[in-house]
Amino acid sequence: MVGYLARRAGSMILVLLGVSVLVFLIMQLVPGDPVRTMLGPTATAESIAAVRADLGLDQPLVQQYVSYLGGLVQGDLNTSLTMAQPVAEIVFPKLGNTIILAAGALVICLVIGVPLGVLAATRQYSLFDRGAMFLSLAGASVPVYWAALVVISVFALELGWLPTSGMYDVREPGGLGDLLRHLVLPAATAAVVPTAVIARLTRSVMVEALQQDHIRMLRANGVPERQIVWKHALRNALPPIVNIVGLQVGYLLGGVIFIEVVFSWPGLGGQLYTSITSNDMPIIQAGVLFIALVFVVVNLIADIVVALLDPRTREAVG
Amino acid sequence: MTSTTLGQKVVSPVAAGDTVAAHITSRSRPALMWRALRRDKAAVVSIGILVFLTLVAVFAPLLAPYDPLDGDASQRLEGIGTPGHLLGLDGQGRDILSRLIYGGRYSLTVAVLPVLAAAPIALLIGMFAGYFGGRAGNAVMRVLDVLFAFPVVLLAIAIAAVLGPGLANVMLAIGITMVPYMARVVYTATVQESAKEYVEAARAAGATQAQILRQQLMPNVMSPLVVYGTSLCGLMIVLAAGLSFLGVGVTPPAPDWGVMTSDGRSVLLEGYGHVATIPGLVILVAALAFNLIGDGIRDALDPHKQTS
Amino acid sequence: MLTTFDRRGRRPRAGRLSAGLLALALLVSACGGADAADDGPAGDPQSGGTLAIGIESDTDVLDPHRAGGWVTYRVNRQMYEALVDEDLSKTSEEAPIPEIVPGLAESWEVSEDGLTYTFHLREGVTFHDGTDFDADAVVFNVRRMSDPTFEFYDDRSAGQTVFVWQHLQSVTAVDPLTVEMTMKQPFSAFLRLLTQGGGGSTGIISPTALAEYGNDEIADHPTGTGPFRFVDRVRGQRITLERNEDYWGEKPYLDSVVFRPLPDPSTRVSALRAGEVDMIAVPSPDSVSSLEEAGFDVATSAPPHLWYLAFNMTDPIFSDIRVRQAVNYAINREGMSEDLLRGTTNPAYSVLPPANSAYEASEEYFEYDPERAKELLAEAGYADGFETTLMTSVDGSGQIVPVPMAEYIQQDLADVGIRVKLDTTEWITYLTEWAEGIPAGTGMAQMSWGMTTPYWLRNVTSSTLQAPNGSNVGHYSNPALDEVMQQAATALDEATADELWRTAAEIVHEDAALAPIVNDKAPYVLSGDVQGFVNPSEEWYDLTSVWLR
Repeated sequence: MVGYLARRAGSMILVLLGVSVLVFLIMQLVPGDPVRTMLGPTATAESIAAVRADLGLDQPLVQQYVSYLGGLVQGDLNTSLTMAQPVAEIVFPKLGNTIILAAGALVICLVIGVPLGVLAATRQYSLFDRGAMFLSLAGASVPVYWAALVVISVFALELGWLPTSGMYDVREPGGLGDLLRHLVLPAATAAVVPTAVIARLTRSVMVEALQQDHIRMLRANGVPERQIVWKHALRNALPPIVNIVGLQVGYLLGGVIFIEVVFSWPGLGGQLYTSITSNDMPIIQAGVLFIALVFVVVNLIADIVVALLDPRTREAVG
Repeated sequence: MTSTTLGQKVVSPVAAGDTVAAHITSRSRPALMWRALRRDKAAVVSIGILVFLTLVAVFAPLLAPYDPLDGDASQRLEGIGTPGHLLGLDGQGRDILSRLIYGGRYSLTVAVLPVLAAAPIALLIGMFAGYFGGRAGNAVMRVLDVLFAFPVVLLAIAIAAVLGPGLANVMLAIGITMVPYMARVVYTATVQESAKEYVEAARAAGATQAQILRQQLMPNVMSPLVVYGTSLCGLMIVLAAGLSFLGVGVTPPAPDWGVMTSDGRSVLLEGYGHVATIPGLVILVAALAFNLIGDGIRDALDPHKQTS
Repeated sequence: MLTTFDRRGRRPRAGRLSAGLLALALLVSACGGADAADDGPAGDPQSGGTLAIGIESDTDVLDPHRAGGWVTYRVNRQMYEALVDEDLSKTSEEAPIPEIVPGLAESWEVSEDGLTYTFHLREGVTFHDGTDFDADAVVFNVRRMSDPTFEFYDDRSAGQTVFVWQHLQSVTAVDPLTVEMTMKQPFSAFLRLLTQGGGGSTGIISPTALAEYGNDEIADHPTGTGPFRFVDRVRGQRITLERNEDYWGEKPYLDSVVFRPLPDPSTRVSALRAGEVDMIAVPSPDSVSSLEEAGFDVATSAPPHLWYLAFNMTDPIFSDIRVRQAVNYAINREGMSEDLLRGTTNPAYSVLPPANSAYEASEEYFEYDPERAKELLAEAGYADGFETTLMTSVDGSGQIVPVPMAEYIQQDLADVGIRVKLDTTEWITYLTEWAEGIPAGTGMAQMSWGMTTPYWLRNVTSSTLQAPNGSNVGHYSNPALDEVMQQAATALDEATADELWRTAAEIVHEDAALAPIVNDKAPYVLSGDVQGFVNPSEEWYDLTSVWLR
């Protein structure tokens, strides 16, 4: 187990290094001069050149990358080009906000997606099964930014149950309760697609699990069906479900960008979009790197959970 | 399986999360598949819908009652059932029905072409890494791991930002984004198939590497790729629409369905819901149809279902 | 029909399909709700309360010298003051151009030769950190923006404010309450430019705070002299200010103000409807009338905010004046203002934006006349029209609704045979590409801009300011114009300057170097609880007079 973890950690670092190189290269190609943006339309060529030199943007590419990496190792994420603020102060709070949104969505996916898949599997080819699977496919086919507005108009404007946007009330920013009220709509909208994916996968692995010999044996021995489904079959079906949940985290971290824009959720996705278009390299570097890090770590955890769930490896690990 | 790195799981970035390749092990042939698919009502209806939408797009100049680009601003935002304009008019006073009819030319192309373009590249990468394995194959898969850790939507935005807006660039951006996912599907299938007896038999009979790859493996890894590719088409429409929404997609005033939906957003809450809702529903229907066909093909290839 | 959107009193119109699932909508239509706005007698101003303002994007840094853009200045202006100020307590109707009034300087003199400005500072003013405002503070700030030898010189601040300090020779503290600035040449727009904030502003920062936090960190600790002081900023969520109890002038009624960035127009309108904010900037044109019907107040004005096209003078087609005239004639500015923009703009015929002393609403130029346009095109040899590209942003500060507007122009030009391709870019990238100059193969580029001084015209037409060294993005060059503008900029009295600026504008019109399209009315939408808000002839506002019911 220790050796396995060490190998995984090693490949994680390689992946993250690769991500940083890739981001760096892509961003060299994006049009748009951050300094020009920073100084506005009345700036002169001299003042632009002065600021460029100040920020080290006149250095050769390799040198820019190496000095970036050097800073990273020392925990220095540099300063935003367009916001003149340390990157860490911008990226970490926003990453936190995105994680809150993604986590909220994930909870909804699990609470709805897994039971839906299990129920569909136990009633294979029934009306319920077909209906649930059709609805989940339809959910995955909706343009999210449109769905988000519909949700706002119904639940926030018409019914007035929940706030339209934002993360906290601006007049009296409250605590957890205020946050949860603001979280419900964006999280539910963000959850639509992953819920569909999880429900469909759960259904297909449960169908297989329910056909296995030992389940038939349990059934023959008169074990209650409910216990067979929710305890024995689901346990066998769990590893692939855990894996797919891990991968959905990756989708959510990047895919919530549309949700963040429509709900004015102050997350990293919306920030990265702005930063990509304004070519704010330090923000993009750090933002993508930490999204990738969260993704890689979550998937590592998912793999460990899968290993622990598997009775064969469980013995070896224990 | 040792060293379960990220990529070893075959997964769609969004829709079809099922482990496609694992389900398809039999040596299916198109004819066999088609026979099974015909029994799937949802798939048949979906094919019908897509054929219909394609024909409408092809014959758009004959069918569209108005020029999709020319509007009358004095009539803007008139609703469904306006005399002469069955589905109403948009924010520029353009006929929504005419724009929908022409829009298929953009949106259906965006759905299919990136996947078709990415498929051969994915096939090449996936089969190379899967069949030869070793250092080179491993290196290829590590590079793909990097792309997997990169959020799909952000990668597409970044590439689109590099290329600039426009239909061709959007397709290139989302096509590139999909390559690693499709390559992964091919890789997994190739690894599975390579271990099978028929490959061994071919090798023993003196077939060259190229022959084994082309004649033995290719037909078998194609199946999961087709299944996966079909389900990706629906995603492409939605993703391209998202890029339009962010301003890095298809350029207005092109009557792309995604552009139309994002155009209509600003008046959605002002009582002119039809402008965004109608194209939004068409996107929903088209994407759903692709997804249902993908489902149908997978079921048709699924040995469990065929025997049951 | 679905009745989802009828609650606010809008007419349910046959055929209007509101979004949402039918079932949800039916469920919803049974539920009522109270209107956010409540009209009744306003009564006397009262103190207290928090005003929440939905703004159209997150702001730049809260450092007045470094920050660019109107959105940020609207926040910075509440905390920072310059030596001279504009009177923003009057609407555009009462004062078409805001009057220049004392700010941190109580009075000032300009020497006969126009080269020396002497400012007499206000006594007893303190910064938010408790330190005293004096002549040394002014010198410290001006050197930060203009003197590369100064310890606290900041090249970003200098880059942003170069348009103000370009002719400055020296700045000295004569005594604790007197500052003298000398110019290299007369500069008639100087005082007005001191009050501007579109790109860099000259608000005075506490030198103590600057020394403590440094040039970068000061943005997180804004320390000025203004009526409001900084409380906190949570990026992407809010900027909170509170009343400055030690303010030297009229203290604000409001306890505090919260600026909330809501970049998506639909979200912004929704937040206002739901009462989450009390007022919003830049409502989408289509929402204004329904918001009014729902009882919200709409405050418009006539600020210097011109949405215009620049022509690429180096383009083989657009170098022909007849083509440029044809485009000017072909665009239906009235139609765009009334139909597309629902009266939130006025058609623009002058290249000078409103709200400056040389502005004349001249209708003699280029009234809508597509037939004349076709004739001109035929004369120029384009009887069958031609193809060209118009570059535009998709959003952005002051851009109104750029893509629908560009599409409208595209259709008008199609009617006279000009086939226009749109090149759309996200705002920040657009600003960069625009500032690089209109590229070869592209005929036109749009921008929205203006200042309360006619000096602005120089920015976009002077041959010395051709892109990428200035904002003359079409590389327009007319030596006669340059000469007139040089005289205007260095004129010693305003009347002479204005006359010269009008001549300059006339030359630009005759050359058809630009196509003015519309002047924005810069609407704000307020709930009925917000009282005393004045939308002046500027792109920013004063909040000291605002109170909540």
